Amino acid sequence: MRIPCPYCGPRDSSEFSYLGDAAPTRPDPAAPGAEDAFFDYVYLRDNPAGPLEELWFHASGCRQWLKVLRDTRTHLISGAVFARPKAEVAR
Amino acid sequence: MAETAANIMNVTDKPFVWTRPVAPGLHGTPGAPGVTALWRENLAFATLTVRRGQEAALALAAAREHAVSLPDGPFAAQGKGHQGKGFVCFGTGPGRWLACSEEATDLAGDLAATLGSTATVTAQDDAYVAFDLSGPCVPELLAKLVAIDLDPTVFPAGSVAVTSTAHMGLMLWKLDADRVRLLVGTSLAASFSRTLAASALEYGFRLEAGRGTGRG
Amino acid sequence: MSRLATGGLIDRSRPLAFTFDGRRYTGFAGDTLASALLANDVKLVGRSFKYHRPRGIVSAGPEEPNALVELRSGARREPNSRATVTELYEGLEATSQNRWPSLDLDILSVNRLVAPFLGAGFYYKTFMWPSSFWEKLYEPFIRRAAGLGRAAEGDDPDHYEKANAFCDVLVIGAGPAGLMAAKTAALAGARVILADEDALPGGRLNAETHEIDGAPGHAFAAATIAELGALPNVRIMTRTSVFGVYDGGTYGALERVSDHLREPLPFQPRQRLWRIVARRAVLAAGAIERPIVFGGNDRPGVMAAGAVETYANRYGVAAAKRLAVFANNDGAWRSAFAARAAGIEVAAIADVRPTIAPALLERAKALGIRVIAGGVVAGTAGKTLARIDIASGSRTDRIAVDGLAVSGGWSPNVHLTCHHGGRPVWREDIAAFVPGALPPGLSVAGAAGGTFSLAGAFREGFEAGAAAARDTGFAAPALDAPRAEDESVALAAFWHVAGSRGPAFVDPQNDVTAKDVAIAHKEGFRSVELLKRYTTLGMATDQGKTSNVTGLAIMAELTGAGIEATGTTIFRPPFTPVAIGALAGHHRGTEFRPVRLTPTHGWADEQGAVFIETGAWLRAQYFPRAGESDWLESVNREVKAVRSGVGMIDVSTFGKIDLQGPDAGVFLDRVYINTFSTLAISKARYGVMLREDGMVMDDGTTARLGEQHYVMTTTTANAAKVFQHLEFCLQVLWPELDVQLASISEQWAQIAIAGPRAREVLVGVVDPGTDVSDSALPFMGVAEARVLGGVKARIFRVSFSGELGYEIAVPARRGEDLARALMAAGAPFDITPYGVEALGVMRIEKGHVSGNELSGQTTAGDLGLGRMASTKKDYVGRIMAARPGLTDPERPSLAGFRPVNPAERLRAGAHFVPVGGPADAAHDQGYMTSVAYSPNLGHWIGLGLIRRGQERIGEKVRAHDPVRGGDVEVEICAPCFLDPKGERLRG
Ligand SMILES: [Zn+2]
Repeated sequence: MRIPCPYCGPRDSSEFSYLGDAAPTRPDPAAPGAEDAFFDYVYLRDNPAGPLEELWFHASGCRQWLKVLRDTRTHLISGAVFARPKAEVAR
Repeated sequence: MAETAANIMNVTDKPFVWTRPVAPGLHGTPGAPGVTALWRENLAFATLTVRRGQEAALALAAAREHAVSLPDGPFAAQGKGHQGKGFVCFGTGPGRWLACSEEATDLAGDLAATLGSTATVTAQDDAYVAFDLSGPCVPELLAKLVAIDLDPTVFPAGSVAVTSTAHMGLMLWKLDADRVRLLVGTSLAASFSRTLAASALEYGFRLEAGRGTGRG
Repeated sequence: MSRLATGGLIDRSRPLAFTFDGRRYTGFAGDTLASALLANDVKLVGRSFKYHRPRGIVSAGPEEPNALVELRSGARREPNSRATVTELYEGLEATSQNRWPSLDLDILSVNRLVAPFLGAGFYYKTFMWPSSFWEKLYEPFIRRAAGLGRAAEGDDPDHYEKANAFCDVLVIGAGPAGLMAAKTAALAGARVILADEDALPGGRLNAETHEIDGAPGHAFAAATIAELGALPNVRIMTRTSVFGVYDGGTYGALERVSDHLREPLPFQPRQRLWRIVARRAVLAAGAIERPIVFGGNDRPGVMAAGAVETYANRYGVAAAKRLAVFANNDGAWRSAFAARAAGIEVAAIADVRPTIAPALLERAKALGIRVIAGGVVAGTAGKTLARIDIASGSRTDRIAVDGLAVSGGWSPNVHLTCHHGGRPVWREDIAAFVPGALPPGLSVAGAAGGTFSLAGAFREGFEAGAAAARDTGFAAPALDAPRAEDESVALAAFWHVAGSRGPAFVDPQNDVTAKDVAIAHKEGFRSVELLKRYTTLGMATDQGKTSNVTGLAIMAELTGAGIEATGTTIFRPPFTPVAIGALAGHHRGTEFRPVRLTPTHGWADEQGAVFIETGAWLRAQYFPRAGESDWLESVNREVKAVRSGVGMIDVSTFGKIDLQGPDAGVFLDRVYINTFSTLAISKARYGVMLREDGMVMDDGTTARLGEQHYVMTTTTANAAKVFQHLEFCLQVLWPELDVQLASISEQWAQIAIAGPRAREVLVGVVDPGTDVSDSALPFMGVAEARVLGGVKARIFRVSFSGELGYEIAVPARRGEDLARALMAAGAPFDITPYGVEALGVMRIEKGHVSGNELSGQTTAGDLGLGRMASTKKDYVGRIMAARPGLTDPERPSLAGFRPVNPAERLRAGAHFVPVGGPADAAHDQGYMTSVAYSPNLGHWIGLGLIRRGQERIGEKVRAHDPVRGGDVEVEICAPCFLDPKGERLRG
């Protein structure tokens, strides 16, 4: 599998480590109901058959966390962007 | 026992020892070596990481102080200054560079002095060992080491890649059409020298110890 | 001799001597082992897997099910080598398989008499019998009788390697379609790789007698290859099998660099595993001729019609002196004519079809070949084939022949198209499965897609090459298609001669007969997947290349469902076998993975250290001295030396991370459970970090070097994981924080000195004027100083051993100098190098947790570190660590353990159960995580996790270890066995 790193270019997936679904965001720990929100954040994942935005870390390359769009049925990877907000990506 | 790639990689006795670097000299196919590697431990290194929101200021300072346009991708750019010796800046990630100088001087200190208000500079002089490769068979050798397309049309001179080989982190800089510099972590230098030799024996492999090479 | 007087693409000027079963023969350069054996009239080449039936060569390609031999000898012996793709070399040694005592006389061929036992489902049914029968009788019998050849007798003396290649267009197969595709894409300007498993590219052009643009087919192939080879954008890879299609346009290919040689040339690998990344690929892998199943069809001398043609044309070998042909299609007639043209007598052509195209009949008549339309083979006879019976209508013709060329049509090589889950599709008109849904970027051309005519192959090759070029950004060139025959390939589906005499083999390698298929049908195993597993059809080393379609067609006949509805099993990689050695490449033996050496490795080696692998690192385990009888004696000495004097150990393997920026303190507060933003400059603090689920991730000390500058240490094992975690926190969770990270693990060598005399040793290495007194550098103090005459150093007054201790960091290349300087400065105090064993003993004596306790299943509270957690801030894992399940007082928590009888040894992994109670899971209270012999206390000590551990000091339990037969009564105690107040380290 090849992942098109936005910095390094296309690389073999063995250079990356995988985290999972990129959708969950860390809840506000001070908000009411934080316990339940954190439980969902840590454990609850959808398991869609189809395109999924996932977090991958380019461990053997630019050391950037990426959001990679992968089709879970075919492994077809249709894009990758930096996980950090655009404004925070240094040039 | 004959020196073969099989006994570099498998056999714990002569002539290659699994905890030792490959000895300098000519290995493998006799005659003119297809690959020559110069093992260098005398280079200076520093990592440079831009501070938040200081991209433009760092770019300006780098241009002003070192006449270098910090590469915004995996490329090398030549910088001036550093006690007149100059240095090369490799793009290693967004807002991250590795500076490398041919002279073992205080590169990190010099860069911190000029760029320290807009970037974090960290000395890495002892973190890397360099292998400067030359010879007609370098492209064939590199095909065995890295899973990156190094065809000149997509990886021209001046390109840089941070990648891995045989479970070792590796940085590759294409100096010009014929020469490549590889950087590996100091702790992996011995293992890497064996991987290099095992892959290059068929072409004839000459390993030279450069200035400051403490081991080997 | 069956070598024809002329012809063939062999080099008759280069004879090659070889042996088969010890007998000497001669072939020529360009032969395969199979063609050379046939040329020497060797027809019996092996015995079958189950019934030990005599078998001969049936094909001329990679699909060969029968002619499997042991190639070479000793450590290089390779069983199950296909004689049909083994290139002949001088001195080749081959041995037949599955026979005892000899190929000619095989005692186990009595298996045929017990064939009813060994039929479909034998393995499954036998398992139903009493297990003692299986173990004592059947398994030993099967192991002796079955099996495909013997493994090598030693470590493989050759080496294997891996390589990567990239291209715009990969063309798989260099037959007519592949050559055309490669040429078209290459002339368009695309980077092209043309791979073919044969040493001689050309495919069928080398095997058949076509005329292309007025030249022989093989000459056309050679000219095209020469033309392609001259182009800088083309790489031709011969002897290279593309065996798998992987994700993202990645193809696995095996280059047999040295298999055609007796042994590899100096420094050459035996095989090279290629990973080819291609933007587009064209599958032009051709097709495989299928047999027709009839009684006695496995007799040596029965062969695929195309193979007879190939042996004649490419190798100049007459596979038979007097041949008959049995077929259901027009193509086989051309094979018959080619054999005749090569000088083989063709006695008859039996075609199952009652009506034959007039042109074929005329040609046969002109060549004097007898035609039996509507004829089928009803039986065969002879040790090697001597006679066949052909039934047509009510009559039977008995014909004496020594060769029978069979063709049941052609099966496209769809294998690679299935590797992404694509299912082949049945095409009734050609009675074959053709590719269904294709892997992204792959197209199919020629016979692999069911287009069997030569003109069709050229046309499709051109189209596929042009499309691939266009898709990769190149304009396709205008090319004139070569002028070639659009020959007829008409056929009538026909699979099995019902009622023929003798066992009729569908899968000759696994000895699966038509009757076995019928049994599977009768017993209800009718789906193709069940048929395969119940009968083992298609599960041998050839993966059913010649048998799958026939087997399922026979099943379809039995069920009446039709082939389309029956469907086919699909193919997984690899297309042909790939040696494990090739997959491993250089990673074998001690080079299984790279090893990281510490900066003081050379020094430790001089000191006689015994090394141990800890993760990727090689660390000194202990330093034995003359006269010491075992490791424990050495370790005891090292521990005592540290506690009474001073010792030193390289701790460079700890992960070291530089953190800088205005928000560094805030960031550390968020990743550690305790607070670092308040840490004074030039101070260090022990920290614990959690995963977001509340479990401990790692621990270590972090020092503050400046207002905005910290240096973190991680455990050796978790260095990479923690760094990745910190990057995650900064890039994904809190990108607004202004913190810069850098790994400095490789930059700094770090040596710990510990013991009551440690300060005196330190004084000996720091540059004059450096104050390291207790007041200047108190416990947990940090100093940036110069050592060894001007070398930049960082000195941390921290301790893992519980003694007065310092860790001194210098740039990695000065690590060895520092070690020597410390040895010199410590000589008056008899400074003792110690290894990770002694380090482990001392940390257990002090009750410090380590990898065994940081198991990923323990909370800070479990480890007695709960009070470190700040309640004034949020941090990773805080919320989840407060879950009731993780704060349950019943959770096992850290305690120390000592044997009630001090002479008894403790074992890590032992489970705690009540004294006098049952030792079962219901009474399990926890387990021992770490043990050591404490030379200071004179007995074994342990750390463990036990329910309500911290409340049960003084209680006795049993450490039960059924695996090693241990059952030791232990007393629960505080985890710290030595100097609980920590007076030593403040000394
Ligand atoms: Zn990257």
